[in-house]
Amino acid sequence: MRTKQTVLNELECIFPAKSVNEGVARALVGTFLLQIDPTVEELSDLKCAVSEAVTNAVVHGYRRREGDGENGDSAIFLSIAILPDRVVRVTVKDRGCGIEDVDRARTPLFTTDPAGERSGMGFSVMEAFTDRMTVKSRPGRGTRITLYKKMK
Amino acid sequence: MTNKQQGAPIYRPAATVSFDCDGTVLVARVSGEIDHHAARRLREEIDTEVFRRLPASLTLDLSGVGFMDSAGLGLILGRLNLMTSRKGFLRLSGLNPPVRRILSLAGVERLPGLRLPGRDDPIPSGAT
Repeated sequence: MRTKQTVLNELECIFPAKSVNEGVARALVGTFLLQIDPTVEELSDLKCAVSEAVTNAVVHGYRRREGDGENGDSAIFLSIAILPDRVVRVTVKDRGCGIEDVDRARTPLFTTDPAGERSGMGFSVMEAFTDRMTVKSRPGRGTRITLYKKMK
Repeated sequence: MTNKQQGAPIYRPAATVSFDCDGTVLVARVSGEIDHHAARRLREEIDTEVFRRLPASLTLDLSGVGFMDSAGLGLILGRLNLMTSRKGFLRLSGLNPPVRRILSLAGVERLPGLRLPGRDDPIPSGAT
């Protein structure tokens, strides 16, 4: 049960799980966080972590493989929130297939898609480039990744 | 990705690649942001050129790359596999800070067949 956090400003977006939107998500994070004047490095790190989370939703959440047709029912929910003390919270949520074993998924180099040249580093990057990452997932229901990063 | 057929959307690629080949060394100059979306197309374009030119070594010049996530890592590792399976090697050059950051996180310095700036062995002419 999440306790209610004070949110100073927030942007919420919904977009289809198309790979082109991985870059859109990064740009949205960059644009929205300009108002708190982050350093280039910390913003770059956070954008990279968000890129990983959105990519996971595209590649795994909706099982979108190369050559797959458009699936209208594949929404990704992105929320970027500015909390007190220069803490940023980014949430990436999907209603896809979910993760059976989250601990195993978070193991470095573990991937269920080696044919697609997935390096299995997504969760490692998210953990390394943020202060805190939580993963909530229910098979058949979807996954929510929450990233926290305190900017200098 | 462009498709001029009727009704199809036209996407401006966020990452592009151009090639230079002197016979034994193929240089692929990548610009833009390498994410999962870009890596899909870059992979095909680079592999096509490798199979066309059959070089002894492939250099990925990443000086124009301002962003790379783990999909970019996958692209690099996949090309490393490709070159080592052909008894060649892969060189990386032009590594900007965001690219160095993700490479050091993954610890790719010690992979056989991979040459990084400052760690190159001298290449005798004519040898692989």
